[in-house]
Amino acid sequence: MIARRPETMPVPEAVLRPQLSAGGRLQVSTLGFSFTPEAGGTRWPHPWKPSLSGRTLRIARGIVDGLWTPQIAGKPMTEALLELKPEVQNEKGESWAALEVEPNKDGLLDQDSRVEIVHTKEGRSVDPKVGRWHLCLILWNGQAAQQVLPIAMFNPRYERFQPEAGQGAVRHLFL
Amino acid sequence: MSVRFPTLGGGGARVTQGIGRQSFTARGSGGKWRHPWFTALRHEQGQWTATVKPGFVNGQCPIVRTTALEQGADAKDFGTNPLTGKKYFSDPVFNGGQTVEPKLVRVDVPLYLSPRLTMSWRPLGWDGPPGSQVPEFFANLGAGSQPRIDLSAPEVNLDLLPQPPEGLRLLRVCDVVLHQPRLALTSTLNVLPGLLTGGFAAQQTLSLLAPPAGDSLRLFSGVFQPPVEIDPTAFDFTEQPFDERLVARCYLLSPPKTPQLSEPDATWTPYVQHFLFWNLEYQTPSFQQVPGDDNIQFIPPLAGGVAQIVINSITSQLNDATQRAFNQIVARSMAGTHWTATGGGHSSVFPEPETASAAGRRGLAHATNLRERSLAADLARRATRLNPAFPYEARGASTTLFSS
Repeated sequence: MIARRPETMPVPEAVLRPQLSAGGRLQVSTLGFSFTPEAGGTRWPHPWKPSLSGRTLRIARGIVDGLWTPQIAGKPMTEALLELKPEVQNEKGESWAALEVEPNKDGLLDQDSRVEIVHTKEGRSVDPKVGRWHLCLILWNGQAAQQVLPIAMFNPRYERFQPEAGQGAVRHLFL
Repeated sequence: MSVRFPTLGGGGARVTQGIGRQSFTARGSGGKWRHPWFTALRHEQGQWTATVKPGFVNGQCPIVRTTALEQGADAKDFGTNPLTGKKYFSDPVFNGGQTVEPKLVRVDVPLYLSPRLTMSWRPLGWDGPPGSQVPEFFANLGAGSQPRIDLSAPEVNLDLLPQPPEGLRLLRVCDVVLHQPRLALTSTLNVLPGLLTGGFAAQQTLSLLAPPAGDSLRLFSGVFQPPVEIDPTAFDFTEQPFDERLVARCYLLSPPKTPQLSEPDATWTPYVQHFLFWNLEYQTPSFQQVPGDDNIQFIPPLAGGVAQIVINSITSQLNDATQRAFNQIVARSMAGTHWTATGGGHSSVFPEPETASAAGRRGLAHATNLRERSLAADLARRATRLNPAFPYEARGASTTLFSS
């Protein structure tokens, strides 16, 4: 909002200047005072933030291990939308957009590793080669994707933990 | 604010012209962002209920086990049939043959459908159980803790019992708890007497117990019980087959001068203290296999077989001790770990600044004095609120995830 000072009015004295409390921003220019209210935290562009449009999903950019930007159908996630298929939903009408990673033999991600966002109805991966981390939940009403709920809100670090023989399964940890 | 020039309202703000003054009203572009697990209390249909913003554990949304009646479904009462003396439509023929009324059948409702949690309030403070103390936040608002009465004294004069302070406010509390089923570690001890051999065999067996059928990741209201740790030196124990996390602690504060033991109504003020702010990951540790049987097998007869009874007894005790040692080493709880994937950093709490020494306060230690004043103001600000400010602290990942 801008408070304009007409030419006929005297310059306001310092004591008459608007005083701010917490949560606002006040700027002074030759036009007067400009007050920007707090947005109330309504918009928080966190990583992996999903937005649904029909049967496509746009996901805000996220980074794995501080280095790797996932791909969607072979393109960087910043340039592609995730296609949602109605047949990929469970009996409760739920599906997920999930990050899948395939580390190298040392359990690390490198430039040849698959770091991809997929549409799935599967839970956590039990495949020792593939780690899966759910980014958002998609709720279906029949053939229509009705709502998306964000799950991931931070950029993760990936670790594969290989226990000793006979002491359990491989674990894919997103920390 | 007082200005001497006209103002114009822009986007997100409104200017109201009053007598000799103008007021600004600023609004955001929508509702305030709420973190996962945000719990809100509401009074409707004569009772306080809670709704929780969906949170996730390993990408799964918890359920709430509830009934249609608890969810406020149409509870129209058609009255009593004068011929039978029973409620109209209470005959099983109206109920598909079920013996339970449909509104009382328990169903699992996912949290993203915003089910209502029915709260079971328990008193805290003045009219609460003996010794119950109220948090300082509520003490500052007028809630009184229970007076300490020495019941061990030979005579308690009822006339001298402390009277409620003027304007006393009562407090009720109820927890919202996240319930996570998991495998549980059990230990059983079998003692096998061997009269002929002169010894005995005591074998401790570690095994896993599955959670009860039908148990699932869910949210419930009630009392949060901190987990009980197992004692690996005990012979027989069974872990609880679940992990629980406190999501939020809900409080209701009464108006002043409310009669003791009153039921909360719409005049009470709700407060919520949150303990979870972010979606969670969950892992349980691996079950450790007990090493193979290394019992001492055979010792040839000595002293013409006369000493065999003594030998058997000693070797039996040695075997038992070995088995117990193995079990104590591997008897690690199957309790899982919850954490939030934040890439490493998970704390928004800054370390406490060093307090100034007495010597530092002397003279012109302006910087020290300012820092102390700032710290005191910060502590005072924290004391006036139940929940921390954004960014909220997250649960960190445990290094035990990497141990095998």
